[in-house]
Amino acid sequence: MGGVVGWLLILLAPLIGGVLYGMERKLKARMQRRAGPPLMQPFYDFFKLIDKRPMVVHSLHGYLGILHFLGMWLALAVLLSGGDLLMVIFMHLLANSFLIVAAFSVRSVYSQLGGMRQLLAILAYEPIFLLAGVGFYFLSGSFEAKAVFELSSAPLWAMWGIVIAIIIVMPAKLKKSPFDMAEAHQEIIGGAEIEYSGLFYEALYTARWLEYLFAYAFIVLFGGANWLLGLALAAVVFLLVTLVDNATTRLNWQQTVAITLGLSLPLGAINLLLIGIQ
Amino acid sequence: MIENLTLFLILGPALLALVVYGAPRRLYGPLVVLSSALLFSAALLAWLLHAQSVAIALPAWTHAAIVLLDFALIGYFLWVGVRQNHRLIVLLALLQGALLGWVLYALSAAPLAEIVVDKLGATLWLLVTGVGGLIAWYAVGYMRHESDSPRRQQAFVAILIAFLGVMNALFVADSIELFFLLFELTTLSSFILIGWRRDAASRLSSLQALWMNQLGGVLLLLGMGVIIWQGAPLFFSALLESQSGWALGAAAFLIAGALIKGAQMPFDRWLLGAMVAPTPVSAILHSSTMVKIAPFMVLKLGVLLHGTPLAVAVAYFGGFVFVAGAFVALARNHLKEILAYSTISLLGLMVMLSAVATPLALSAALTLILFHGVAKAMLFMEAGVLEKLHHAKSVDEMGGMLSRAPMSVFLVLLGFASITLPPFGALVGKWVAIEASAQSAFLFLFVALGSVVIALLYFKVAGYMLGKPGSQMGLTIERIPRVFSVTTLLLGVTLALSAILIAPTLVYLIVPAIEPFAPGSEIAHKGLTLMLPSGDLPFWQIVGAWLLLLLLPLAGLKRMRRVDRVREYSGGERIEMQPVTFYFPTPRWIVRAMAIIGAIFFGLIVLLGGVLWVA
Amino acid sequence: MRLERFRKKSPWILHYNAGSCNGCDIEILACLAPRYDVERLGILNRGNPKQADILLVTGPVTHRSRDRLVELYTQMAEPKVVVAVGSCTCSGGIFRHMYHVGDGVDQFIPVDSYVAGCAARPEQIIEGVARALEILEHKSHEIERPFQLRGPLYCSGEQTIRRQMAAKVSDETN
Repeated sequence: MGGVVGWLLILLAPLIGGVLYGMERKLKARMQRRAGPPLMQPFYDFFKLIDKRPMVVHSLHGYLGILHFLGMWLALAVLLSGGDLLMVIFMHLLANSFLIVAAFSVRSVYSQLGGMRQLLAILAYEPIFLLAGVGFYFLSGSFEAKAVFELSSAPLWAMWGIVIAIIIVMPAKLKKSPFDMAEAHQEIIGGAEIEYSGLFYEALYTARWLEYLFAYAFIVLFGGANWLLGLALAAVVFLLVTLVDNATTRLNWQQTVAITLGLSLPLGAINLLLIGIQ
Repeated sequence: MIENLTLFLILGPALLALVVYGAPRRLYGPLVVLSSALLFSAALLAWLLHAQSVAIALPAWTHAAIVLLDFALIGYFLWVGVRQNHRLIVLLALLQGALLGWVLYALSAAPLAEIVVDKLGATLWLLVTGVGGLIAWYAVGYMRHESDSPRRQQAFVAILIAFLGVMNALFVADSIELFFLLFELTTLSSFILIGWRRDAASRLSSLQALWMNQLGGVLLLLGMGVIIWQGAPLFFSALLESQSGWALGAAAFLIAGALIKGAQMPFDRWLLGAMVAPTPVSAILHSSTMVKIAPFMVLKLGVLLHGTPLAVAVAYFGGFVFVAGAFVALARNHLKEILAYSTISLLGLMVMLSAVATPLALSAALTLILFHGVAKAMLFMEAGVLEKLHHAKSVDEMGGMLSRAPMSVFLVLLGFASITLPPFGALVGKWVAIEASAQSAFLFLFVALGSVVIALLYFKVAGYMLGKPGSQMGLTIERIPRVFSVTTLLLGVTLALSAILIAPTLVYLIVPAIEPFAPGSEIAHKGLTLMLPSGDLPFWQIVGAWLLLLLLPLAGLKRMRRVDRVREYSGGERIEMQPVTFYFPTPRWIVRAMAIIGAIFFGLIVLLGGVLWVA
Repeated sequence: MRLERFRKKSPWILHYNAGSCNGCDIEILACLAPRYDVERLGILNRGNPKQADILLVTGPVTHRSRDRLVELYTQMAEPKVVVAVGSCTCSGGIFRHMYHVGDGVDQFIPVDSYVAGCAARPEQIIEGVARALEILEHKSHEIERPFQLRGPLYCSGEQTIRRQMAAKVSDETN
């Protein structure tokens, strides 16, 4: 992307992400034949959360939530500015590591369990994203997102296996069923985010919007220079992830890791090998 | 000038060790600090002055001295084997003796200089003397908490200092004959230091380490035998210049020997056993310097290997160990064992990269060797602090350590972060590693999977230390004896500073060391921006990530004002939770399978050596 | 911008069963299900007191549940409202004056909106929540404390420590 558009996107990222999150909630409701909340609902939540009386378990925990948000924004900035795709993924790990450290830093059963499961979710999806980075490198000869946007033929066609692999792990990344063990709202009540409230929960809430934007912006990469195709693919994945979220139940961590790594890693590897042969 | 510095760096430690050993009790602490400072400044000076490779020929009598020492060492091992009634050690010592005798019998006069100081060696001196010196200083404080007599404590520190000379020599030895002697000397120091505490566990571990490393020595001798058989000079530089198959055969044996020293599977158990030794030993010998012989050997011979089946076998072996080591570590509960296995695992990555042997991969390998050395030394030192001051050895005893020892925990966190997170050196090394190994899809898969498992491992352990009760207001930095805090903080600051300066560090530290024998890594920097052929790392990303990480400890110390403190949620109950950590027990058959796969790879490397020699 | 406006646009709920027969609980769940779909009003069931604005209580507050109720209430950040759903919750209902119940939730914590009925119908519950939201809009950030099982509220510097704000039954001379 790069250039002015890229930096504008980075600046407006929380806004776009918020709308994306609103759309997702709306879509999910429509799939369940509900009217669903207004599109701007995430922003109403945002302003309400500012207004709450601030409350923390301890200071370190509160600050870490804010660091998580900043880290997520940084990771997104690296992606949208056309940076190195591997570094994008490592920055994303950095952002998540703040959340994990935060989750472990309170003596709360649910929080610690959530932190552990968040780590396992990372184990489930991160290798696939690194795989995608290498796939792009095979096609464009560079690890930079910039170079991917200059590919005349959409990477989607050559990287079909990796696209499917990414779609498989997408629920793990966005904490959606069936791989939402890290959040597990009915079971561990949000996991890592449980001890946050008010302003500090806000950081996590907006970080989630950024996460949405991050994940779908990554999908747009598969369109190459044809960013309309990329957007269309992102829309399809968006529909699919929401549909799967509505239609499946939660799996435990063993199942999650076994399915994501067992299915998508070989798929991606075979795809990479085929690209390599060509 | 370089010649004199080299002599000082190799022989100086032994002299300084004697001085430290003989010094009166009151003077010995300052003397250790002084000798560490002297050695490090000599290494720094040598590194700064180093312009091109300097060859130093040793006088003829040293050859006799080397032979004498060789046989003395083998004789000592034989004696140990007989006294401890350990048949394997006796057998291996006899085998070594026989092989060495044959090699020496066939050896012709040395046509080349025994020591060649290249930039790589000078760079590694920085690691050895910098980290090693700090550890020797740290050991002064550490040994005060041991039950040893003062004289024995001084002996311990003296051995550590003398060992630095061995390592310094090892990294610049061009004569394989000399290299073998130094290799055996490291085996000896491992044996002595692992058995230092003189209890049953130490005795068993030291014997295990001895026979495994002896096996490494035997493999080295076999490699030397191959060279002698061909009538070629017994020198690394000569070996690197010959393009024939037997050279690869010799290289395979030399690498196999070094891999045992690097505790690669299936020989991982001796390093695990080595953790019974006092912590400074683990820090210097078994994580930051001695075990680095494995990647160093592959790095040195990497150019020779490049593009051969042997390189493929070694690379896949390294990749396999990287993933397997990390998996095995997940099930461990002693901090030192976890660190040991993650060392084995990361050594595998370094071996893999060295075997890939493109200029970029070699740079990544050296980056990892250096930064892993610094980070692991610091982590082991902190493990020692936690053990001695807080009586916590296993991770189970470290739950909520943050509230008792915030500084130690933050330094442990820094050490872990420096291996897993941007913008630290080791992560940048890993990043370069992926970019360098991307050509072959499967090697890269190992890196991707292994680094995620390592992240899982580290955050699992670090997280467990962090559980701070909300009722405790703020954190107060604990009081630590100054020798501990100064040494560990120095390493921590080194890590933090090198992280923000990662681009210049790579360009001025790593590239000059690799460039002479593998030109064309195309690593460049513009200000703080790091530039690789396949992608850039702009300064704002480095600074951004660095600032975020810097804010973390500050966040721990700064108390929020005007914010309510509330109890942790536990479904409306009021229970005080005691955090427990989660282990991912690896089924026994997987551990066994990993050892078998490792053994197959290892056998393959040795077999390839044999085949290539004959062919 | 007046932030108070947004309070009633995104009320998040914590639902607590203080010994109800589950009749009212099922009606609350019916509100969340597609037919009544309260999410269109921005209402979410968080299941977490720290992120909730409305405490929906059902049941007459049995002795076993009272300290949990108060604990959850004190963990909610102000401004917050309490809606008592069902007759038992409002007054103890058919359990009133029995040995094991607390005669309604307003004996323990301040209630802002009462929804009678056995069981309360979903329309009533939504109406009750809507009334509570009007009250919520005008609430301040002052700490609201329970009536019974009150623990101390400490101040340390500029921080209020509300960890002990709810007392355990065993500490209470009751």
